[in-house]
Amino acid sequence: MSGAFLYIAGASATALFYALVASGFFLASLATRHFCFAAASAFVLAPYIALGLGSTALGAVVAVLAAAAVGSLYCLASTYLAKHGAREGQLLIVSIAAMIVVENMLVLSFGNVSITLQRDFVATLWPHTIAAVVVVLLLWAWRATIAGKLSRALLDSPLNLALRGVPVARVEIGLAMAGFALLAVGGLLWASDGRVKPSMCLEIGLIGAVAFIVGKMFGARLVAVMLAAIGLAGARVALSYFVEGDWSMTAVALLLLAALTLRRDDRSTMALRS
Amino acid sequence: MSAYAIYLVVLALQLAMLAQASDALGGHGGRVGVSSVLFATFGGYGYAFATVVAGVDPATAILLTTLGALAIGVPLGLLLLRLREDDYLLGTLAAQLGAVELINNLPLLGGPLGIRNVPGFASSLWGGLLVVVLAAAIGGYVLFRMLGRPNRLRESLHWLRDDAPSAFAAGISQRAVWMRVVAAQVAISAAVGMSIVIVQGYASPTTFGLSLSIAFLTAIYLGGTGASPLAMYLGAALLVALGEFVRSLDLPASWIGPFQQIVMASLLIAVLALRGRGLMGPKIEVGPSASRLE
Repeated sequence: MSGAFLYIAGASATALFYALVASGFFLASLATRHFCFAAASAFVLAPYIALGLGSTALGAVVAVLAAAAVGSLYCLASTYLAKHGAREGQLLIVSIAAMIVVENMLVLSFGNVSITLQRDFVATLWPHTIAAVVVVLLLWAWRATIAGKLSRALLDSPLNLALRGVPVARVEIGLAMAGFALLAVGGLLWASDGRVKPSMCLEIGLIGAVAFIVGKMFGARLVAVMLAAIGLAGARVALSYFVEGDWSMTAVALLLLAALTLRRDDRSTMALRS
Repeated sequence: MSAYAIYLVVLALQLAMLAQASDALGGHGGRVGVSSVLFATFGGYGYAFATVVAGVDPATAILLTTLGALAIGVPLGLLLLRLREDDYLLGTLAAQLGAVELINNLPLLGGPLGIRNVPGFASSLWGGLLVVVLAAAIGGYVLFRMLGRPNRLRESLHWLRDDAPSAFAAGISQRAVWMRVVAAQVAISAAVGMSIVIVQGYASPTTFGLSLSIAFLTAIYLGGTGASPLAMYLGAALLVALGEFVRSLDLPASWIGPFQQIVMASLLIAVLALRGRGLMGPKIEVGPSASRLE
């Protein structure tokens, strides 16, 4: 009984972290107008920065701020490329390449070994509680604050927002910063609860992609993306409970394929033909 | 010619062939993706399984693997093409990583250790060279006939890419065009996969990972996406030369791999930022193929 309870508790914690990670990708991708794999670099970079600064709360704050700064730079670069004719597919390739650069720079600096933040850091910050608080705060900000309303308006129609005199570029940079910062928080909490290593970038990116695409199928809203992430966490935990071996990436990849295939889009040439 | 020089030639040819096979759909068909690595995985593992586990001789194994890859790869490739244009890259990436993870978990295919002691022809290096040169000669000729000069198939593919509704209205069959391109892509990629496995002497899940995808995407964008298939040889040769330059630097052994990855990914970003169509890629204007075909 206690084993099952521990399993459910572990699954709930995983679901919270996934919701946080998926929200970060959602905001960063909304800002950059393509699925932003590069944001995964904030997830792995932040724990290493915090570790370099002695695993203190101050180190964590610096790591989150650094991730936000990287997010703003990435958003500027992606806007520049889009203005110069880069298509969504090319931006996606740039995003994956940027993620690979960061991942390998970390491998060069620290080796591809797992790290965990020290126990006093964990005791101070309570990763699961903090993840829950951040998720609730994010939902509240999305619903009730001016920044949230601007973000939702950007999601509906950037053109409409621009016609109302809102500086769309600034909103996008703010969103990218928030997305990268959320992923940095996710990375810090993940490293406090378990282990993080540079090669996790792709796995985290795929988790974000599944939640992003499944979420978009159900209304393209933050809550939908969070729920999709929670569902994905549940599916992975259930899979690991019933099946032997490490099938986690297969499950994520298959879910991504299924989501992409089921997604309805009028721009599909096949749809046009039929 | 030293064995190492032959190895570099084989490497450049492998990358060029993967780039050609992918750019047929990416640059010419408007569907940039990494499905070639998936089909190369089918080829590599199919050959290793046939020779080592089933005990088939190498020549028969190549024939059987090519036919098997076509039987599985063409329907799968057409299914993936149902994804919308911007989702295609994500979808093929998911399929590639899913397949690698699947192989990683199947004891029949050796799991994480892969299949060892894969036989080739004469020495493994010469066997790999033979397969990749044959694939380059036959596949390159077929692709050049299809896409290297103006013809009905190329114009139809470009028309579908540039303006699908008007192409449908003109009676162009998207399925027929795509099927021919996908069949060529699958056969060439499977041959490259076999060549990789023969040169290495083993089939391993890590061989067909993300780094291979990034390598041939860099070769495509360096050579010129949508250009003549011959441009991919330039991109692949430059990439291999760059890798060798990094290797020649006086770096610790454990740094070379990650450093090569950083250089390659940075180069890909730089090419996409500064010259999106690559060194020899054409400027694409709206609707030129349609007017030419009409």
